Amino acid sequence: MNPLPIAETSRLAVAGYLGEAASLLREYRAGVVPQRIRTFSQTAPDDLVAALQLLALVPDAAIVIHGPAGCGSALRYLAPGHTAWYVSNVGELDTVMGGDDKLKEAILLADRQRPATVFVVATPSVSVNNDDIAGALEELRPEVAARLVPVYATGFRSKVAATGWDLAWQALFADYRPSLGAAGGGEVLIPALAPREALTGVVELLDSLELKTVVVPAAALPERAPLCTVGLDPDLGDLPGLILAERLGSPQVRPPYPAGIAGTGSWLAAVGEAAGLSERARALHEARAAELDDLVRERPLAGRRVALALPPAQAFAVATLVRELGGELALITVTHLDLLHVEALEGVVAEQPELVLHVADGQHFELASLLNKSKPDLFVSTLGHPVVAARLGIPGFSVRPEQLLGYRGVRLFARLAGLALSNPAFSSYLAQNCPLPYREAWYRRSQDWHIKLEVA
Amino acid sequence: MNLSPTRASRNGCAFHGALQTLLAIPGTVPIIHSSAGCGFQHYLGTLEQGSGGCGGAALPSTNVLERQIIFGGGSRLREQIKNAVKVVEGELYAVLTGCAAEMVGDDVPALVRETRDQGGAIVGVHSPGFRGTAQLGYQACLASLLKESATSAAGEKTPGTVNLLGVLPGRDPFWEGNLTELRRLLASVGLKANPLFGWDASPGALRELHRAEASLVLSPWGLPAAEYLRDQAGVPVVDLGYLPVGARETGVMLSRLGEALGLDPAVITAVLAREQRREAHYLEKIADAYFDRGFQRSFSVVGESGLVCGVVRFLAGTLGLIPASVVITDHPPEEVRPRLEEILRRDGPCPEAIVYAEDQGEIGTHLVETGAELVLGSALEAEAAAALKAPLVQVSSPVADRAILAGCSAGIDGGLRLVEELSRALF
Repeated sequence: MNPLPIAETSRLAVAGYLGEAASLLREYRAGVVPQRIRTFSQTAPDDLVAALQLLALVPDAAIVIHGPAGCGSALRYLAPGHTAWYVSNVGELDTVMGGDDKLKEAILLADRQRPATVFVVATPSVSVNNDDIAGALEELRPEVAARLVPVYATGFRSKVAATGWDLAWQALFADYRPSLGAAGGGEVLIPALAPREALTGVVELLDSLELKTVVVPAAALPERAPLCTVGLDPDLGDLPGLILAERLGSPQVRPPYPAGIAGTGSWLAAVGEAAGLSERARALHEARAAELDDLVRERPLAGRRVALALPPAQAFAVATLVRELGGELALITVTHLDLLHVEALEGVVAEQPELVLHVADGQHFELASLLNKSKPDLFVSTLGHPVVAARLGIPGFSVRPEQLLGYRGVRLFARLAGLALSNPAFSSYLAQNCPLPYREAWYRRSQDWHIKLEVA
Repeated sequence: MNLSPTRASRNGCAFHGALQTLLAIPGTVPIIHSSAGCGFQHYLGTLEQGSGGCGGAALPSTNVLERQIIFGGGSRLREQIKNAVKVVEGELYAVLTGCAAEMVGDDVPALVRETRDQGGAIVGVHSPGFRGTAQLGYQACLASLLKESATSAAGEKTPGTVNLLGVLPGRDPFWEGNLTELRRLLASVGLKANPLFGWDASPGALRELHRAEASLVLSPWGLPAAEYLRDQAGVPVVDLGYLPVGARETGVMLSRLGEALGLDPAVITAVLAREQRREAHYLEKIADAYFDRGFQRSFSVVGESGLVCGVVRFLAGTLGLIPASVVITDHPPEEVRPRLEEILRRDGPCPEAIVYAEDQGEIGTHLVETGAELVLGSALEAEAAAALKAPLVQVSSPVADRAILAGCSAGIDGGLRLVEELSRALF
């Protein structure tokens, strides 16, 4: 079994909380963060989904999912058009006798397309059964051209999906030994869940500083050791940064998340400092921020209360962005919280000490009740959540994290907010005709009713 | 079912099939007993189908953790059922077991019984993904629902009602539109379809299944439920075996039903004549373009058993296209395959090859070998169609080029819609 600790252990991650943000901050400052569980819960991404999300970006690689076919369904959304994935199709008999033979067959099938790497991803059923994946890979190595790398997702070890990103990074960097040192032209390595062309908001800034960038895992790992690793979302970028710092001595830059004007400026300043380009970075920030002066003066969110449901790095950065555009925060829901976000949360709490923080990945029943009570003017979130607000008559929009990056993300955010607020007809329609399925009694209950401290 | 490893699986797992079946019955609240991602994988895999009442990311799920894997998840499930009933409004609650919970051996039937004894409307569905494909999940789900509803279903037969079995919610991308079209056609000869699935359905229709005058089977996957109803409730089986497309096949369906239920042949004939006139009116509109744009070409169809038979029979038997090959993707049982092949070859141009395969690579290789000039299949056939330089019309699961709301692929309207889709591809 994989020795990699889960996010709850490695960075004190929690997946359930509802209350004052300041109170949770105090727990983090004290270094004692009790785990919470839910006595009623709804489905949520797990480490398997997160691992697949990352691995599907890796070029010249195949994914073998060792489990039943349903364990790969998420790839239809996560990587449309990606067909280099295989399922071993574990059946009832295999859950008794072990599915090693099917796993080997699946790997051989994948190897026929001659990928450089085959990631072999475990699933709940084979994890319960404790199939010997390492042994099967060892047996196959002599006859398979591809590099075989196991990824020990289980679906049940961690409450925090981001654990799956850690598993995937560990697999991706397993044998990474660049042939050249960073001296003489290493690139800035950016870990992200999108290809370079989707990260224009930050890549264009590094281009302006004449820094060469490589965005992984969508691009191949560089042959030259990276100049440094620059994180965007620390949940995603911290582990590769640590690995590369430890293994190659590549400096790890951990700047604030680059969304919003101030957030992007801080990110740029940190990167500039690491690259010895502080002055140019400062000048670039001033120039790009000045281009947004008209928007800031206009205050398009003035008088609007905004609720956010985003991963923590994005949520805390967008919280500041909402204020930059004149809005007020009604509520923040984050998928989880961990040590990597404490500093950002401190900044948000300093601005709004009474802020209520909801920690939940999905859990629409809690979100619905919170929104019903809070009645914000606008709801901003990632996939799947806007419809909850819409069915309560609250207009909103969905964003992919990379869309909000950099200075250009500010304009996009303002534009999407403007669209949603200017014509909430569809939200009104849904609220009138497609109500949420929760009982009236639930809306009257305390929203944290089903969140309890976990008994060790 | 012992499945081989597959590239880019299109059939999903039994758990997802059962879940899709339940989500197609408004008022039903699935309660997943499994790890957190099982429901979420389903959500991401079927995003374009919408969340429905409490589907999508709102699916109640025990989200079992390591401690429940080690010590058992029975108490967690009990807690989840109790709270699901308090939080989520529903007429029927259904506990679905995923792989992890099944392997741990939690006594789900006992917990379901316990809730039922307290007066709760609840059913247990044994549906771990490792049981096989989504099609088997549909069967398992229907079997559980039928068994649980049998006791409350005693009573007189409801004259003129027909069960529609074998149209798989979610797996057939056009399932809801198809059921609507079939209901329309049945109504035209004085019959009423049991509304078990779809926007105006409810769990109450489960009882009606036992009181129907006949079960119409529209794919091999509906046959076990029909046979159960025949054996337990005396409901006769009319096994068409495929989804009819176009007036000719609709005629076969209505005639078979008419014979089984003793309907007046004159009524059937009159309805068929009218539907035939309607179809002809619209097909005539395409006739010029048919010749001008070269509709008549060789084609391959890739899809589920019930779908491919109807599509091939319509395209070859009515539109005069040339069937090059048929790929059946849903692993129909060996014993039904000769019948499917007989349907495909009956009184019309025969496809040269009939292949059973799910693997995207294998299907792609086969398609390229056929040299077909038109491909009807799923989004997974895009690569092969591009290699063939042939247009692709997405008709089977997964469809990725549009959302399907009320569109259909069966009956008269389904045939006409298919011609519209062909024109979009060939114009």
